Amino acid sequence: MTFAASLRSEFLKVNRTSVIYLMGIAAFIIPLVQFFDYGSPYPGNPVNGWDDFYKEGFMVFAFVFLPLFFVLASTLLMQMEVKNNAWKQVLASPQSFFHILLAKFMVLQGLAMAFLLIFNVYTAMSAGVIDLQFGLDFLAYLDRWPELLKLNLLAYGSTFGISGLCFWLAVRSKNFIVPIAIGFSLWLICLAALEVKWPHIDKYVFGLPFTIVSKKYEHEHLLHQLLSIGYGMFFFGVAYFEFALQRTPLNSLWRKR
Amino acid sequence: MISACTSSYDLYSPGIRPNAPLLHHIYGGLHHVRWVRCTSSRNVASQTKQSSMNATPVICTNGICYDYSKGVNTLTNIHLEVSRGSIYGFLGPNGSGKTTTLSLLLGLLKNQRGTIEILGKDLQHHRREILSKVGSLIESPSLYHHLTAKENLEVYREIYGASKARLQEVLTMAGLSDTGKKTIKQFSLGMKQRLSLALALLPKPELLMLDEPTNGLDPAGILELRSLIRKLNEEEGITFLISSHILSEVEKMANRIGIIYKGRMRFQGSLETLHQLQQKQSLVQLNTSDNLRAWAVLRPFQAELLEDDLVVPYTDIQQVATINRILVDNDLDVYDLHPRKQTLETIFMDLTTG
Repeated sequence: MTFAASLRSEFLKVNRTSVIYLMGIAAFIIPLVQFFDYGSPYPGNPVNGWDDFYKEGFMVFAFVFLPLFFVLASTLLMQMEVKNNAWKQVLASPQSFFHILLAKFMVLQGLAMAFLLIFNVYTAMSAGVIDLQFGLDFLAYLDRWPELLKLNLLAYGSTFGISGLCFWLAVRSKNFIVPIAIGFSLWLICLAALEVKWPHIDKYVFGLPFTIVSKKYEHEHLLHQLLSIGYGMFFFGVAYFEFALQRTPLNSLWRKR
Repeated sequence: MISACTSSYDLYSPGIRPNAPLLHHIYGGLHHVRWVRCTSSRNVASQTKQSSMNATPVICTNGICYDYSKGVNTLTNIHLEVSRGSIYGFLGPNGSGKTTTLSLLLGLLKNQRGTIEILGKDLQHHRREILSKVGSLIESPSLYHHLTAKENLEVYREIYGASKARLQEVLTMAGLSDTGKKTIKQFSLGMKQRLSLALALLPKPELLMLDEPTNGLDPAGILELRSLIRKLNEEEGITFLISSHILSEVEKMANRIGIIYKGRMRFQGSLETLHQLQQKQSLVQLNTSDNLRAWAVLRPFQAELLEDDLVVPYTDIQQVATINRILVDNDLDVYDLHPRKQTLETIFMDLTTG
């Protein structure tokens, strides 16, 4: 009845689900496109595949792939219960509502981290092949791992708010289409806001990943990361209260149940 | 709160009377049948002695009501009492409120009014503790179709604190130990139903709530399930609450019956009480040359005078002959004598039709 048991249960459920395949395929798209798009090293500036891949690739990954991954993955996680008619069994098991939702949210975060990791592996592999092809020193860049780690953390942190929002949308909807449609629309709004250079884009939850690749916000990373984490926690909190209050009175939430 | 349900009592909920004259005889005849309700701890003292002699109630609800939408009463004032060690058949036609009641008992729905005590504890305040001792199967099977039978059980194993040996045990019990890597989407409905039952048994429950458990099972499967339920009840002392809309199915397993119709309890009591009801409800319909005088003559038989007829309850066919003899002996011409023997099915129909 511990949280660890709830977490293990949630991780077991995602075995062989479409979200796993989605993760494996989606993470491969950017490295694949970049691999064929690379051409050859720029004359006079022999940066290797590694540099090129990460600067270009991470921008697209953090701004497009990771947010849309959260839109799809959170919906798929919840739909797994709806489609299998399994919510009632989950709710009739001795787990607190908080544990149930937190375990699901942790699984979503775990999947996002795995998505990031797979993307890194694919990218390194693609860049490595390019470097080998052009006789560039791939291994020389390995000592730049702190830079890579920072980029990964910023990408993950800046999308944490999106994960919270998408999770809430998925929890409150029994429908598959609605949370995806809303999530995708909110992302499109961000694109439109960028187009019109909306000054508050760095406060819009779907606009936060833009701050990690924009020169304008490079000195405010910490603030934006905290804002994103705040958004994530807020939306998770809303999701929890909405979920729990549908099933139990407010006063009983504070008791040991 | 201490549970103080008086479990030995039988309950007959008048509710809406579908056939008032007919049921009058039943009410009149069953003096021992009375309302039951959970009493608060304040009222416990006077009943402690009696309660201690009775079987402890495993489920005790007091006046629960539920509305899915405003103004539409799905459940009204449900007093349900399930004694420890019993097999309680919860009967009612489709849409009568069985699943809603079971969902409330499992905390799947927010209780709007009344109290629910399970295993002597208030559900609202001891939800997790209660659910760790309760197995359930509500409506259709709740299984992950992309996982195997074993993986489905593994999902809940640690949550219920069950061992791996227990998992294997329930899998064998359900006859699914040889399904290997076959995923649930390749299972038949009967196999899914059996796996759901295995899942419900995983925590070694004290109480099992099964909603229409025979759905999708073939005749052999139904027989198997029935004997498994009896075995678990007798050998492991598991209390069962089984909902169904088929009386004959429940009659073969249950020793206590609750009948719900349009969200109201119509009957609650032992199977014997229902059989007594069946006997009490058998009526002879009479038409004589002077019904008023015949009524007076047959008053000791609890005769009732209706508009055109006279109805008299009887328990065996010899009584019908006696009634006829009495009428003839009193110079009354009998034009029509029509015994109507009630079966459990007809009683069920009477209780569950508007």
